[in-house]
Amino acid sequence: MADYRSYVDGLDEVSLASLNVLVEAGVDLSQAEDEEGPLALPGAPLFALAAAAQRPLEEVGSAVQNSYDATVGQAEQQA
Amino acid sequence: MASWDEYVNCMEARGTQFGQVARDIKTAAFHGVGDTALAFINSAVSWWDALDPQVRRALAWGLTAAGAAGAIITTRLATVIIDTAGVELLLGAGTEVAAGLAAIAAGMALGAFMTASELPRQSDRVLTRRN
Repeated sequence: MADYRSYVDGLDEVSLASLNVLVEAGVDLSQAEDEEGPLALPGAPLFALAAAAQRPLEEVGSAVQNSYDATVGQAEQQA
Repeated sequence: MASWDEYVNCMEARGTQFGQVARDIKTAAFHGVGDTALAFINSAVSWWDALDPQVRRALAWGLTAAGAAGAIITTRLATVIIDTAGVELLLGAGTEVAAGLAAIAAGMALGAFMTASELPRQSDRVLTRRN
């Protein structure tokens, strides 16, 4: 998750917008590979999730992070 | 010879279908105005060169892997290119460009100027001519 957010947050605005065009069209970038080999994007399952949801990468990252934080918080309260 | 004509000749030299894409871009997307068409091509080259290298690889793969969604992707990418270009010529032609994006999309789908291996070479040609 941290790798994914770091990668997405580190992209310049145009690169992120261009990548989001693919994701929002449902292209699963976790499968991407070319003659150089697999792209091995950090946090690949989240790229698959974003494609399935057809939502921007940064939005999916925030949603997953919020969900994780809420779950951890709930578990800590119950402990 | 006008820069646009030189560009078309470069494309023709690579194959008839590439030359046709260049002509379609000019006639369908830019109503025959070569300056605007060339501005778009240069913007596309600048956009591509400025992308994160891994994003460039993802786009090259995604455009071929997208299947039926390819036309939607290329149209949206063309919009990203125009929005980020900051070229007054293109921004002023926004409505006309929107009406003819299918030709640009066809060019991208064909790999006429959106593949990792071909675009840098084309970029050299266009930029050299501009300088």
